[in-house]
Amino acid sequence: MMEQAIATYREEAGELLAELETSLLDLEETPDDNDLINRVFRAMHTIKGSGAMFGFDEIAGFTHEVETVFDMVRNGKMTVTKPLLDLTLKSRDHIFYLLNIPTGEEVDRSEGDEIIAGLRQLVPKSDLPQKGSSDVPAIDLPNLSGDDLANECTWRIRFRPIPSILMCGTNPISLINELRELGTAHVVAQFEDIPTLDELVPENCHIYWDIILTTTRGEDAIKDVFIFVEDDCELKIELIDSSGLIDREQGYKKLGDILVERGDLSPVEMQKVLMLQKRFGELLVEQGIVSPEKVQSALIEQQHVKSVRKERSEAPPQEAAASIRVPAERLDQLINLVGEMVTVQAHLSQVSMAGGDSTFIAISEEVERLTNELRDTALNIRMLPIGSTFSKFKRLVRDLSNELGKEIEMETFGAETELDKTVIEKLNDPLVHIIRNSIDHGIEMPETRRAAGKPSTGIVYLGAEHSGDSVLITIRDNGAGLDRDAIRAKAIERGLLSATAEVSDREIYAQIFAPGFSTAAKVTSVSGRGVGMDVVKRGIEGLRGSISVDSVRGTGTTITLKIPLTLAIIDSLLVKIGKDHFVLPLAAIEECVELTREDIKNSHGRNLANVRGAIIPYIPLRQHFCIKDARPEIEQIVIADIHGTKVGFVVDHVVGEHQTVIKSLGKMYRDVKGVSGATILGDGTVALILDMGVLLQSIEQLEHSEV
Amino acid sequence: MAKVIMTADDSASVRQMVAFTLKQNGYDVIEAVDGRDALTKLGSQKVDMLLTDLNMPNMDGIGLIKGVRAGTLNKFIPIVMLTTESNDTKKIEGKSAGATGWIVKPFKPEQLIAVIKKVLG
Amino acid sequence: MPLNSFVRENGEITVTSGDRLTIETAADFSRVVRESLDASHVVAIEFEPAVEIDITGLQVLCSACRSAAQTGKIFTYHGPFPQALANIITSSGAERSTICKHNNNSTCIWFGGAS
Repeated sequence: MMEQAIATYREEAGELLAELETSLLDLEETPDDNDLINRVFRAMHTIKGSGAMFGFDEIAGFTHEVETVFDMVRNGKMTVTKPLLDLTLKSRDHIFYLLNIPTGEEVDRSEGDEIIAGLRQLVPKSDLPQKGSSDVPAIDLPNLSGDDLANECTWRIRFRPIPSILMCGTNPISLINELRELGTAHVVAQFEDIPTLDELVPENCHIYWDIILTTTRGEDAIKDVFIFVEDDCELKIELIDSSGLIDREQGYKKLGDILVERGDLSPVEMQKVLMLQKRFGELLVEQGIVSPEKVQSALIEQQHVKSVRKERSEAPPQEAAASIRVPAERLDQLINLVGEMVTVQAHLSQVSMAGGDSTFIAISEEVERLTNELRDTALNIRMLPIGSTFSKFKRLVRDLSNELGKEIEMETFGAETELDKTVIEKLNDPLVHIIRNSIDHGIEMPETRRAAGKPSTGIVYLGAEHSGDSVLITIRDNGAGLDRDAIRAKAIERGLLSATAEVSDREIYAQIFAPGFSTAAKVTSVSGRGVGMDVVKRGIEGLRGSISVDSVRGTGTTITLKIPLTLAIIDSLLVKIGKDHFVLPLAAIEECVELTREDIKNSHGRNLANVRGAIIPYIPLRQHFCIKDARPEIEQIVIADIHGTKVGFVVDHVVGEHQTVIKSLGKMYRDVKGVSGATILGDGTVALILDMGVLLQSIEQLEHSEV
Repeated sequence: MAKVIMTADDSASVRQMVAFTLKQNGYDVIEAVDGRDALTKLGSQKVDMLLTDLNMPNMDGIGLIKGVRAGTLNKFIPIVMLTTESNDTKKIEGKSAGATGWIVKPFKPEQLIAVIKKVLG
Repeated sequence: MPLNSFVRENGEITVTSGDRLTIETAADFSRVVRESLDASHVVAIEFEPAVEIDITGLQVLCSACRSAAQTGKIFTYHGPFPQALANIITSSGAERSTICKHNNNSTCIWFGGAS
């Protein structure tokens, strides 16, 4: 189609050039003939305009210069002279040359430049157009492209066309429909200016519009809608709401304020009506201060913005505007301060309870509630989805399996599960170790897998899910599974297990966490040096987490990590032995029961308690920590569930639940077993945080060695 | 029913391009070679819109717009002027004569259609 | 039936809309309704089902309603509410859910939302 139009243009331009030539020659005879001058101008104009349409930019540019000169002649600023006619005839020849130049051939501009220079010399100096002022006609059009990616904003638009607008063929409704295409719009046509039939000018527009528009396009896009009528209307565009606003309240301005802003109501009138204590809108209408239409329109604005804000607050935080970047150290500082706050609050509670002043206690309880909320919010800020680490492991699996000639895919689950930022960072190394092990020892070579009737591609599965105040991270492979007998043999050989002991599968598998333990016949580049699982275990325990292994020979291995949600502050149980306070993490604690002298006597020296028929072993912490004070008549057993084993910890008193801000013990005490940290109590004393899992283990080991 | 648009232009190539673009977008097209031709045709045939060049022999675009607004049958139709001037003088002259909008040459077919949709709704 | 009016036996005047109530016919439509309201206590519009309506048509209806209310007359319509009128009420934002003071504080029978 375009080729056809171009061919038509060539033909047409040829005709125009012929006409131009005749006119110029006639003009030589009668230089004052305005009709001829107009004809020359028009021929140039058409050659230029249509040339630009069909890509003849050289012609458009050159002809524009000649046309400009003839426009001056037309306007009487110049007279027709022989040199002008000579140059114009030359121009005609040059245009003819440009028109017939074969595509791809270099354009010779020298002739054209010479003509233009000559023409400019003929122009009176003061009338020389500014260079480059209108060399190329610009495309002046409403902005049709999706221009800006601004925030979602809500605009209040009042569009009041001049009465005669309809007579110029403008349809206000198409403009309003165009606005609707920009976003969500509420449109109210205002009819109050429509007169009775006697005064109605039927072709005039007596209506004006209030439009509330929520759009991501900017103000310019709104103005573009009205580009053809900007001089034919009163247009007021006001920003009334933006998603970028800090002010995220859900409500919106009062009706009266909207009307005052719109200029439909004066502040004095508003005050007057407000004094009457009735529904504001009704009063305004009743009193005849504002028309019901205007009130309705303002109410629509109120509704619109309220619903936009509501939607925004309910929408998942996704846009840049909904989140901010904060340096991690500032967050850590916040957490530290919250920790201090929690400590001080504990002190406050203690003092207020001791004082017994009910007002003081009430205030202190309020502070406690607020502190708890502050703590949860602050900790929440540090939560990150674990998914970012997951994607790193996909790469690891891909690279390692290539290196080992295995076919392995990784599947992930629960990437959105959130964990404390520090925890996620510290999980990285343990996870790398475990996944390497799965790839190297777990998944078999493709041919081995095929021989075993398994698909040649092995799968390493990495998943995360919430479980109470912990997150469970599961690393599962569908490989060969652990070799129970090999592990047992190795453990016996290394003296970790006695050859005769009856041990469960779980206990055998747990041996892989022993330092330097490896059953690998050969050491590969990936793993097998026996450095690994013990490091993993220590890493996880450093996070106050736990690790467990399960495996079925030939089917695969599952390693489960249980990681507390956060490291900084935990709910715990505060207990007392002698004068010392200790803290037990509340998560694993099931109940507290009494332990009397009688009970101890009945158990004949074995540390076993009978709790509702179940025999539960207990650890007397008093002995463990060598506390010499006298034992109270009745002690307390705190019963905890540690990896499925119920164990009791005997203490003097249970003080109560306590929010514990964890402080590390420092390097000196890093290797102390059974103590994972310390905390500062309300009165400033220090309490040790007990690691119940490690305590249980060390007691078990002690008993083994005693056996 | 397809809307009818008249294109008035003394340049055959522009008329050809405009007519083709309009037809492709489902409009019916009537062509006029200058202002006088257009005004004569508009006297007897109802159209939905007029696209007119400004510089034409035998009655220019401004004259045509004034003539249409002074007529009867197509008195109130939207009129879009095709102008090569990006300056405001011509636009203002055309607007005060009764034009609805404008498009500046050179333009692409999709720009033409966008302006027509804007004006015709 | 073209834009016209006729008197019924009960004295009521019926105005038939014709094909279009647009800017081209606005002057005629306005005049016919005005004359009818001058001559009768009750004036009703009978719309062609496929009538074309623009905002000038809308304005005449609103203006006639005011004129009738002022003089205690009745301005209403017979037969089905045309689709084009319902459409333009929606697209121009003309729906009214409040009373109209120009209609003696009654609700609007015309713009009470598209039916």
